[in-house]
Amino acid sequence: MENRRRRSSGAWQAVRTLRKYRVFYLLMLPGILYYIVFKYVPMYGIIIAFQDFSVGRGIFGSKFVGIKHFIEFFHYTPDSWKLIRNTVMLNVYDLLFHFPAPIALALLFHEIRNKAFKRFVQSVSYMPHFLSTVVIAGIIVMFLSPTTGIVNFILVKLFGMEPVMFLGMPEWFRTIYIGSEIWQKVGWGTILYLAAIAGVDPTLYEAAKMDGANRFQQMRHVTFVGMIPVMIILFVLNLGQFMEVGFQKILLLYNPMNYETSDVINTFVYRRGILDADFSFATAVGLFQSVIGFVLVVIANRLARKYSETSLW
Amino acid sequence: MKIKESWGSRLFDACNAVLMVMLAAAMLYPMVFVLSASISDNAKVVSGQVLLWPKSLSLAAYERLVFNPDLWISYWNTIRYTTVHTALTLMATAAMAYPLAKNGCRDEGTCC
Repeated sequence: MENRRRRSSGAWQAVRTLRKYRVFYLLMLPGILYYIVFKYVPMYGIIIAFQDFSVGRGIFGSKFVGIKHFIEFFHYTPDSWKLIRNTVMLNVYDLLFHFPAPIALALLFHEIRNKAFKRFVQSVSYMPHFLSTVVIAGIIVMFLSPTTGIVNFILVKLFGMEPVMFLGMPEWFRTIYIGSEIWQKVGWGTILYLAAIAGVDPTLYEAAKMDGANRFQQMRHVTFVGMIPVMIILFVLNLGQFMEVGFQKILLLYNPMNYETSDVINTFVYRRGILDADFSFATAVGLFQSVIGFVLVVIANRLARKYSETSLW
Repeated sequence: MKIKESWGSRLFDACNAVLMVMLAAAMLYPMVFVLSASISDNAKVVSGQVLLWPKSLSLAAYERLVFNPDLWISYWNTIRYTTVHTALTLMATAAMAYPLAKNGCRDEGTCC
């Protein structure tokens, strides 16, 4: 009995749990190792954001310069404010249009009566998800070409207008970007929401019908409400990506003619940081983006926890 | 007792069906167009005559592609990356998910 009392302290309990469930911890080891080695250990590299890093001298040989790179980024005005504006605007449009699209589509899918038709439309809508960004950008460039593109062909032949050079006009870029994002991702995005809809208790529908709800009221008060937890989680996750707007597609679709709206923080950093090999600058800007994304996620999660039962943590 | 559907509900169904057909067309059209354009004669594509169906079938584009050795090297690399990546990811995440799923339960054997 003396033994058991001595070994009830916290540290001993932890060791005992580890030994008792050692199989489970062993199972988790590869995943945990992956996170430690690839996500946490490289964090020491953030130091190069505060140095004048040169590959030859390494981290310990490079000079420490404090926040010089951050100041340089913000004093690149007026361009840096244009970059931030473009990044934020693309994200706002993304949240405004791209985020609700799978929700609406899932609701509409749920209302299709004919099973075969429903399955056909769903399968077709999943297809664009599997095309890679490069292929989509290629399709966009081909469709929007002022001489050989299908869009301009219709405009000229059917409506008698002049061919429009869509990819050369800054005002069209956001539409093209968000439109292609929606086209590619709306089908696949409905999967999660359809799973949430399927998880709604059927007795809720019956109760609503008893209370006299018609089809649209049922949709609004039962189906939609059942999707809210998934919406909150995905929204919070989306906010974490706020500053990292889809770099690949922008890189493929932008050109000096539409830099006005298409140049975002990441593309600028790509030109300065990778092409000019200015690693410290690129890291500094990347750090700035990550911090903002992190703050947004924490705030959003706080709000989600306060006003609903669902939150990320 | 057959419940009569309101006309609003039937109108919604009709609009939904039309919308779904348009959606399916919008999703399918670019891919069908790219397929048609790839088997058509190049001049017809450039002049904008290929809208949906291929015109003047010619496999010249595919010939150039197949006889280019770079393509096969890239393909082989893609297959290697994908297979190894999928296998390792599946094993690691499944192994990690099982203990995490048991996290909320008291005893080893049972799980809620």
